[in-house]
Amino acid sequence: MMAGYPVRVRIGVLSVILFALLSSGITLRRALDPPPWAVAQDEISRYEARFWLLRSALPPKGVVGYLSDPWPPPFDRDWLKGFFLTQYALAPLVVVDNSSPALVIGNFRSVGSKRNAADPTLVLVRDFGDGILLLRHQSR
Amino acid sequence: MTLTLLVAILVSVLAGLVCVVGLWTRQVPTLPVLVLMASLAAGLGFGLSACASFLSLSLFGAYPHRLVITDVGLLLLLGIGGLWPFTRRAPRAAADAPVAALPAPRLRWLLGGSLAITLVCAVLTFMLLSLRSPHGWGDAWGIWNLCARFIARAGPDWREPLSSLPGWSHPEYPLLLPLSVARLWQYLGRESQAAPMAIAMLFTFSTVALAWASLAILRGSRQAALAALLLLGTSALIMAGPSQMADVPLGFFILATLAGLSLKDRLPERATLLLVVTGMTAGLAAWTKNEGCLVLVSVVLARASVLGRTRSWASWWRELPAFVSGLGPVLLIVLYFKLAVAPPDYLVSNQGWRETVPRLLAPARYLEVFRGFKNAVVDLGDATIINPLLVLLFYLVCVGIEPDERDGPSLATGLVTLGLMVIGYGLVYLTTPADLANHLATSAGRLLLQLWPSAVFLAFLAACPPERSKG
Repeated sequence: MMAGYPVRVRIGVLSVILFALLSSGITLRRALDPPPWAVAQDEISRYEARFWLLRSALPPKGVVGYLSDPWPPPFDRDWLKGFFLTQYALAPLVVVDNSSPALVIGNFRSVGSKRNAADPTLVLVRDFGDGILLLRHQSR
Repeated sequence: MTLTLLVAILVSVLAGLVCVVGLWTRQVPTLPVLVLMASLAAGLGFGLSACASFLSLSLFGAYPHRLVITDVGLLLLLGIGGLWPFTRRAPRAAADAPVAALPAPRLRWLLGGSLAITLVCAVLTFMLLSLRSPHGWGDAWGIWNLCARFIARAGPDWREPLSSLPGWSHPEYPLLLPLSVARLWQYLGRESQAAPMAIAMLFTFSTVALAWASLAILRGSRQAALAALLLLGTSALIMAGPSQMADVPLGFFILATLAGLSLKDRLPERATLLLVVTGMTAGLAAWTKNEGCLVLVSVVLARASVLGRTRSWASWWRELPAFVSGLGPVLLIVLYFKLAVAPPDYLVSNQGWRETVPRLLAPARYLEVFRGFKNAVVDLGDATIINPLLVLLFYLVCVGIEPDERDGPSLATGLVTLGLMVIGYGLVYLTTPADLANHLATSAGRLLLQLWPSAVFLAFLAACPPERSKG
């Protein structure tokens, strides 16, 4: 196959070929676990679907607040993921990580969370189900 | 929808092709040359289309029909008023670069077959991962596609939300990727995840194609095939593509800049046009990610120091006009974006001497940064297989290092550029106002991945081609 080449060159060339074949095969196998057709909908699309009804109840632009559980925000991976996905779903509305804007989005995962713990002046405008709430300030 | 998407992509690629077609029109086309043109056209096309879209948005607002007019204008500008005159200067007699003789049939079949298998595996992996995560990974929906949604959905007021976004969403990041996605959405008339997927796919495989084509021209088809195999076998690269983040496009532009300089050194009759294209790709790196500014500074410093040392300062000075003519327009757009649209970068604005000096004087931070880079090197591989860096080093040990004399300056330029970039990345980490451990854990691997295609290109540019070792 590589007649005339020094052994060290043959080993070098074959090592790259073997690595590439092995690595691409393993990576493909991992990509198939689980196969995409076995999953009904991806995580982000599922998460976004929770906000469909809410989007129609919000103004087309502006700034909205954000409340989630637990309170105060731990700013850990899970909390940040929820915050960013809310922003992603509601763009071009700007979502801020506090309750100061007139309208505030509630994104709660656990039932019975203390939804007004962060700001007692908040009142419920509408519950969209699945932990999604629209809140506003009582005094405004 | 598919046809509209293809047309929109084709318009971009055509704009890029107009820029590079002048390199080869008077030559007999060979496969590496065609692949080089196609891969450069894909990256340049999307980059320049994003520049044109930004101008269109800034001047006329976000209206799809104006975007189409802008695209047509870009094509005309590039085709007639811009780079076309350069193509006329290419002498008819200019010979194609020396491509090494074709390898022995069996080895050729082995390399070709392996390349075909790994390419099919990589494409399938890309498609499966894209279908599983159509919105991309964390930073894609947290930064890049989010920004594309702002631009596409906010209409004429697209600047307002960008300036009000919290720093976590990095609204100060350059717009090449978000504008490319938003542009395709505007052509389609709706938001489809096929758009960012297609862009990610083009950049991922154009990177491999560009490395293969450049090395096939400079070092022969065997070195090129081996480099492509190594890149396709780098699982971190093939998995980063479908993530829809900006690291793979940035890696493409770094590689295009360094490969362009190498080709320029070998093909003096096309030097001017290659320098213009290299200037463009360096500028587009800065239009892709903030790290691209570091790429730009590193390349200019590296080229100046290498040419000043090996040839003369005058030779560097002679290169500047063509380089700057490619870089200038893109850089002006980046500067306008940074000064007039983007909010301040938190990495820069949160820095004062009082905070920065103690960080620079803390030995523990140096150790932590070193550990972060070490982990990033380990993560380049897969837990189940050998690290591609080890494979590359092993290959170099086996075949030896024997660069072509003519590649000396470009090889040194590339190595100094990558060295300066690693030092620059290290300094950013040392002085970061963010939590260092978290900053390293979430980004060091991606930064290394940006440099990986260029590192592979330079390694195979320096390696002794197998045919020269033949007894």
